[in-house]
Amino acid sequence: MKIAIQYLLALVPPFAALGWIVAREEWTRSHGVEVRLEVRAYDPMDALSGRYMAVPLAISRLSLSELAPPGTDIRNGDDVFVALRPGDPFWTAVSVSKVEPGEGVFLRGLATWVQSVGASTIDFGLDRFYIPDQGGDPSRRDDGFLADRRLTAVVRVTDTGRASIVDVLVDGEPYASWNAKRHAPR
Amino acid sequence: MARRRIAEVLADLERDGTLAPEQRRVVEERLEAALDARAGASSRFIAILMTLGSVLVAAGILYLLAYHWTDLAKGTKLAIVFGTLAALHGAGFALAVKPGGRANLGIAFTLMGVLAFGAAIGLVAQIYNLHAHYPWAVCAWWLLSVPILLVTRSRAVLVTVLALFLLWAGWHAGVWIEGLGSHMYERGLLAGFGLLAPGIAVFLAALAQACAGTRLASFSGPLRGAVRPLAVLGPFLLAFREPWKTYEQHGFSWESRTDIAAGHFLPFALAIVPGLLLLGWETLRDRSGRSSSSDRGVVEPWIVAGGALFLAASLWVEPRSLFVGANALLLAAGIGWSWLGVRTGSAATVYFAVFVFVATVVARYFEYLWDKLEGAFAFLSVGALLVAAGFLLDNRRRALKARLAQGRA
Repeated sequence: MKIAIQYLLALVPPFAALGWIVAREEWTRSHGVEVRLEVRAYDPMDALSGRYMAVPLAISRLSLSELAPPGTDIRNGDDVFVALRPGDPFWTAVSVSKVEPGEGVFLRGLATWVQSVGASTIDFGLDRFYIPDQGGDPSRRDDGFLADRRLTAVVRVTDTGRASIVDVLVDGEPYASWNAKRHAPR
Repeated sequence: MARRRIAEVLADLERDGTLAPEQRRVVEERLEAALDARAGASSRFIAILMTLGSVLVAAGILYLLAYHWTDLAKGTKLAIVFGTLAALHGAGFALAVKPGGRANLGIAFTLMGVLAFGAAIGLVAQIYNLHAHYPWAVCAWWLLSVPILLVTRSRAVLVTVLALFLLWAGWHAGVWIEGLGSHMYERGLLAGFGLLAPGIAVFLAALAQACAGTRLASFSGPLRGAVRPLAVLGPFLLAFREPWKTYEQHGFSWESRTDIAAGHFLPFALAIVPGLLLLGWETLRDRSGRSSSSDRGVVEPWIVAGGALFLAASLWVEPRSLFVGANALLLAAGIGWSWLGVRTGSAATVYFAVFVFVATVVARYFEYLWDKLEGAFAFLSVGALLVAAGFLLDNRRRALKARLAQGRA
């Protein structure tokens, strides 16, 4: 096989992977149901790459004993499905199962810390929102302590439970405009 | 110019009878070989320089983009990501292949492309606020770079992909072990990594053997280079007695630890099973004579595999004496590689064996004497020990080197 064709074929996997990620996220954002979820910051986090704001969702910590059907054996590392109910201002979790619900809006997640008593942790891959390097973190005050602001993650959810975080509202205001006002000349 | 001058002098020496024609021919051949070896070394130095330069350029591009990133529209960002990747690989192809003529520079650009792919994944994740529990981004980074590695057959790309593979394997295993539970968290990490390292060593050794004698023969060296450090890392981590003392004090029961212990073996199993299968295949080919490999080094990989399985069995059956077996393996490795190094005339093998032996002794010294001595005495005695050990080892090294040089002559 000609070397040029070999090179082209070798470059197909990385470009295809990136293209697939972009296409998947764009499809989720354009076709997914808009869901508003409460952000409940409870643990300070450091940025590892780029600057991001930690947006741990309230529904990331759920009591499985209350929400999972009796007899459901959920272990660390299991894929779980959290069914959501519309609400104002936030959607809330109504059930957790290991089987994909047949209807309604649900999120697909990974059970990372399962406890038989108390709250278990589910990772939906929605706990980061990247912000500009000089941008403000609305979850914290200037002195570094937790701020008393209502944070809402705006998420688009597909019918397979995949979700993409599109914005964070700070007391109902999109992050970009909240951040712009913060830096606006007084 | 120097070559021309040397040729003129040799011609003069032959003319005035100092050198016979046959002698002149031999001298010219030997000089040619020596000068070419130096040129080969120059070429390697240039390749290393370009590799380092490509890493710095990739980092610089990333920094430049990051500085203005937030002001760009999403479409522009994606165009930059894909365009940069295509440009780097395109430049690499053009310089190395068609029209070609600048192989080292071409490989440097291809390497930049491989590194930039990781940056591309990170930037796409940033654009879409993506995050995953496991390090799938690093997995994609090394895995999807394998095709370009196979096409270019570049050792620089191999070392990069190998480093990314090891980073991903350790990271992924760490997240997996963390999720297994808290009962034996520290011991779990030691057990998991202590087994994973030699497991990966077996896999890489098998891969190196499979590459030998094929178009990918240049990969054998770097792959083998990673085998020994990984092979000793496992027993070194498991050679400490302290983490397993609780089993001596409180005992252990199969019922209470089976569930956790089985999960800790999974990364090891995923690494060693493919390695053993490939090694078995290569051994069969080797014995049947069908292998075209000129390097029939399957013995050492099997020994490493045996050591890894011994550690796994010790951890499973009797963790209370795991540290004994691990120390025994380390000492056996030091002695075995010393013998192998002398036998094959490999100074690097001898040095590595000495390093393993010294590291084991120093680690045990700190472990057992630290709480028995005042800190100051510990420093003094360890310092004196190291100086004495260094003196003795240097003498031994000189003697071994002299023996090796004698053997070669």
